[in-house]
Amino acid sequence: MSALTLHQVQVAYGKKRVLDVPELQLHAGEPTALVGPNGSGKTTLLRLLHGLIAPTRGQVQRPPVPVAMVFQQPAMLRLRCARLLWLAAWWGSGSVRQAGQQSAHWLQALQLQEVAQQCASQLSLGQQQRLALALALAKQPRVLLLDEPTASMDAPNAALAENTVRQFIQHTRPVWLVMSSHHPQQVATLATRVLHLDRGRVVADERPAPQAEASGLS
Amino acid sequence: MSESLALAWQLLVQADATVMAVAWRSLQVSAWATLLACVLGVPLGAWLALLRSRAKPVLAALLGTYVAVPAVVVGLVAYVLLSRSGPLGFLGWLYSVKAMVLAQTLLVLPLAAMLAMQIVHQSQQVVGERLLSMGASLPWRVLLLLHHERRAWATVAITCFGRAIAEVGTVMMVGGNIEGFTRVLTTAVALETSQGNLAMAMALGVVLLGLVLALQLVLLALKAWPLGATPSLRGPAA
Amino acid sequence: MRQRLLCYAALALFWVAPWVHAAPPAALVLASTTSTQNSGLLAHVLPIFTAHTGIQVKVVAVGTGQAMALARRGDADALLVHDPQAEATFVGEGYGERRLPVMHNDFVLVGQRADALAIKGRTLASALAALAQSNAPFVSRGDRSGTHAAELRLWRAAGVEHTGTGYMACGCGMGAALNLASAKAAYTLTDRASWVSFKNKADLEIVVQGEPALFNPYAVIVVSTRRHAHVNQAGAQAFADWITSAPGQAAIANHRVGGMQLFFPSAN
Repeated sequence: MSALTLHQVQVAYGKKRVLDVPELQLHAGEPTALVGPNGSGKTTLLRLLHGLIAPTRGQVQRPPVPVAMVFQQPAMLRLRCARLLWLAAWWGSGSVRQAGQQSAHWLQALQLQEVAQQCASQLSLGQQQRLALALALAKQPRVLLLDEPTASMDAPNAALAENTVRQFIQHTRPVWLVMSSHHPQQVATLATRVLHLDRGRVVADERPAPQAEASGLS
Repeated sequence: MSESLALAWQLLVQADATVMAVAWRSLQVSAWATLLACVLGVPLGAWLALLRSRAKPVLAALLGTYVAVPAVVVGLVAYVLLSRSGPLGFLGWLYSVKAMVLAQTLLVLPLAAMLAMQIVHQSQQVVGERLLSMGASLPWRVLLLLHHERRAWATVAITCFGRAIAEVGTVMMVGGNIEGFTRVLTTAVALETSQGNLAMAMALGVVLLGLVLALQLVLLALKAWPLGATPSLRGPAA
Repeated sequence: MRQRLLCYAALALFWVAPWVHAAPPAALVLASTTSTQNSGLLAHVLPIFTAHTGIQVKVVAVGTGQAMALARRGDADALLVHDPQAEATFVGEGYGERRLPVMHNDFVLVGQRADALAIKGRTLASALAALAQSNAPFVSRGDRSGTHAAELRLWRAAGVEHTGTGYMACGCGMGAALNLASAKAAYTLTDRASWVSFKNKADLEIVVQGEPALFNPYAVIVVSTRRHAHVNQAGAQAFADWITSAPGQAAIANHRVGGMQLFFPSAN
């Protein structure tokens, strides 16, 4: 079956080598977390998996499915939230009807109804990150990449976001989930595989035993 | 100098018919040229900013060169195009307002494109990845970034207008500075100077500056209207 | 909100207005010299012509050389210029129907009032020779205009081969040349009409005048449709006929600046 793999991949900016991964295979249905200090290459790896950057060397193989990403910096357009979400859903599905359905669904799921008619760039940071997640999910992706998605959220919002993601990966098959996070709790709840990165290299690859709280993941 | 200022004031207050007609014509020609240059140039600049191709640096360099072309050379090119012996001669536009609009449009088009390119390039560095990730095609990205930066376009238009209304070489060559038909403030200044009427020439120059200033103030007031009160120097909220 | 829209609507007048008033009937493009324009002659004479025939005249005032170049490209319908040799060539090459004398005045040599070089009182040939020899500052039109052509003829007639180091060819119109001469206290050849209407004389005054060689004849030429079919020949012919007829000639004679007549009718 189609896979998400890296083979002999290196990413370098000039002389500075940012990522060096000889071999990596990511499996659908196996939510993977990337952990490591700042500058260890997590964001680069995610952007590489998305296809936003190309490797300086090596190949990235992607399954022919929609990919969506939540970025570390929300960076929203000066456009009404509802319209922005509708566009994301429309480009993802190609159908006007589905666009309406998807955008309404995710507005509600991430509790953005009150700010739906506001300009996206004027939302608070936490709201923008929820919107960013909604934009990613509205695309109906099969590969979901999250770069510190709850970094600016308070506890209730973070829990909402995590639950939403968890429900999404439960109801969608097959789906690849790769997320970077600094919260061990978040990693434990959502991921079944943890990759430790340091200075651009994968230094550890664990599959921790499922915890008692992490119910519902099969 | 003071004689010129007094003369300028007199011309404005008495609404001297000839000067008013010439000033109105100046405004119209440059307004049209600015509109056309922005409508064509801004999307072009935005597209260029979003282009991912090896040709991009070459195109950017060409644009930069085009911006630097002297006004009189643009006028010459426009004249050759519009001359009866030229490719667009059949239009019969030479020595008319239309010719001047065309020439000034050619002059400020690269300016609009270059400014737009810079604005969109900066914008794209912040928001571009989001649009790409959402799956927006190039035309959509151009459109959305143009909308995203909509507050900047008025300033671009003012800049182009300022350049257009201030130049003399292009409109002289394709307009002919014909009294009653194609005389504008800048060509009138040139004419008065050549006749030795330096005070009058200066006065017309003051009239021109006054017009541009008045226009700037009007646009400033319009921008600040939603805030209700007098225009704030702090600018609009982010 | 409504007031804002009204404001934008008012601004929009800029864009609408030019196209609202109807285009005038086919106008005549007359390429003429800076001397006829700067002296106010055309502003005086042309409205009379328009009232008489209903034909609007668009005047493009450039040097004689440029005027003829325009006509050769088909961008002018009639010429009113003052370079007999160039005019003969123009007609000879088939660009013009024929050359009709219209009016004349004369050239004058203007220069420093202080007259350090003792130019005043000399003959033209002697004056030019003295200027060249003493490297006096001299402004030349340098733009293939009728005045420039006349100036070059006069240097040759005076036997001057090298015009001296003070010779400045500005490539400009008569007004700009006079401004330059005024600023540099230089000598220059100008037609009397331009001189009289020039308002920045500073320390310049006429130093040599009245010789037969300074005769300055103007002619009108109708541009031929043989080379450019679209030329407004009817309008041009109407102009040529009118300006060489009694009313046109009278209009020329009636034009005065400071009480002085600047152009003298000379149609046959």
